Amino acid sequence: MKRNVSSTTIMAFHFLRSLLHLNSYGGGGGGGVSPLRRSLRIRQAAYTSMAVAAGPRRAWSTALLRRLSPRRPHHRRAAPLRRNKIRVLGEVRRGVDDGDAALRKVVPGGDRLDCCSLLEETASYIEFLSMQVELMQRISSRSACIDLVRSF
Amino acid sequence: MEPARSGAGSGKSGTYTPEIAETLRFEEEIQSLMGTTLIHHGFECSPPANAGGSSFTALLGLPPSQAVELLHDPESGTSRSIAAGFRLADPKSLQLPLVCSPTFPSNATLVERAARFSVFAAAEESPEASSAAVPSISGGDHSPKPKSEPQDSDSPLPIEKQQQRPAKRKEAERSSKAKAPAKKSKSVAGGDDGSPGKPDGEKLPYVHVRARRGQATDSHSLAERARREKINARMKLLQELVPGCSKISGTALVLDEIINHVQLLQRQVELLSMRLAAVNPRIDFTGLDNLFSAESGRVTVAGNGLSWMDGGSNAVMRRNPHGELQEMWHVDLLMPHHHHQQQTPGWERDDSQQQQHHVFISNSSSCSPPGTSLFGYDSAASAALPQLSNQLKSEL
Repeated sequence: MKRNVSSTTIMAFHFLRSLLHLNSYGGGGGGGVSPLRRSLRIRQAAYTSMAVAAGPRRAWSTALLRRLSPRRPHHRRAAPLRRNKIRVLGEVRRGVDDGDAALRKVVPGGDRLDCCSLLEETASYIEFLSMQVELMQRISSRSACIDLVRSF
Repeated sequence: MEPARSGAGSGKSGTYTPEIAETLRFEEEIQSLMGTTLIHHGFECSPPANAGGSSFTALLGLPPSQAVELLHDPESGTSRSIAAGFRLADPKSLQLPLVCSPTFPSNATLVERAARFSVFAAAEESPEASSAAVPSISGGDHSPKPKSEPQDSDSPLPIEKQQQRPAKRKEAERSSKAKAPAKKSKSVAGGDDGSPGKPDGEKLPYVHVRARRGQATDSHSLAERARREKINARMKLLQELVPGCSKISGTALVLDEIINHVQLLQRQVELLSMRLAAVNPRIDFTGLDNLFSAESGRVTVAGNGLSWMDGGSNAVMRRNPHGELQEMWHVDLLMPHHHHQQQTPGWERDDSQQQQHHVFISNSSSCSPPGTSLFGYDSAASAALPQLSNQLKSEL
């Protein structure tokens, strides 16, 4: 699979940087930021760094970035889109139901994919999700330890 | 006594005609030898298996290495070793979803017979001709007895066809039944007849795969079958990815499990983000290098990338305290030998400047999420990270 050193590193780098910005400039810009809003932003940062690390070649990363930061200039996806629509329509016409509907809802950008690429994208999505979760667990445990030590 | 299965099975048509008679005779011999016995290879060989089973493209759905390994065994020599090889291969093949399992009995037996026949044939003819002939003989599946009869009639056909067009076939085709017009060309690089043991990356651009007996041979069903097998292969990969999913049989349950897993991961992200938000208003980066120690691999650096990265981060760090928070930060680093330029233009790129690197600064706190950055390389980051960590520490 594609779990190589670089994507983990890229993801960690991006996520930590965004965390730093949130912490240092969020507190400076506004008076006090509620933890709820901060957690929302951290979550957005997590997904963004995931999508960035995955690269533009993944459908889910493109869809995720598009969802998270709508200010990006729109770039057209390549040709497959039309083919996929036709294929999806064809499946609906034939009454073929793979039960992929729920999966499409969960995976970002899944509604445009055909069943085969959907499974592929799901695999990649799961991979990067688990990487992100592991990274955040490491960070949180480290910060928790340090905070604990500091409070004494 | 394995014939030298060398390179292209170039047609030596002159030597084939006696070959055909030989092959027919041996075919019948083998049939009589096998008689009514079903050869067990640890699978359930059900007579209607062929009707419901999938073609050999199931193996093609496998990672090529597995398919090659399965077929690699015959090259080891005698039929006994082949049989042993297939028994060894059994656990591997068992991992395939049940839909594909019916193919294996035929594959195992077929290649066994192929090897056996090659043993016979080598004594008679040139190795090259025999190598071409062997696959054709094994075109019949003798595992279920009722099918043995029609197979005899089928096998002469493929023999001739295959010998006349040996160059286009992957060795995998041997194991599938022959229905003459039923072919499907796949865009997989195929090996040829004469080299069953060689890996898949042989010379030829596509593979003729034949339909199994009892299955529809029109292009629609072939295409559907190939598609189904692709999907099954992907599902298998997913099953490996999701813990505890390999035991579950049945596509719907596996899908449910996958969806559950994805939702679980998403919930974990939310939980952790809440925890991170609550735990530390200030993140301490003192131990940052330890975080990256497990992740940083090679430190070979694309020279210009690193220097740019360095300059970029310095610029960022210097500019931020000035309070310029309204710019977008696009960090666009490219490894020259990794990405073409065409891939990136749409991703994040200022098209007006056709250079590879752009640095802007984003305001992450006010409204937009932290800037969307893209790294298209794999080495500059690892070296730049310790530097960045130092800079982050200095920031704090």
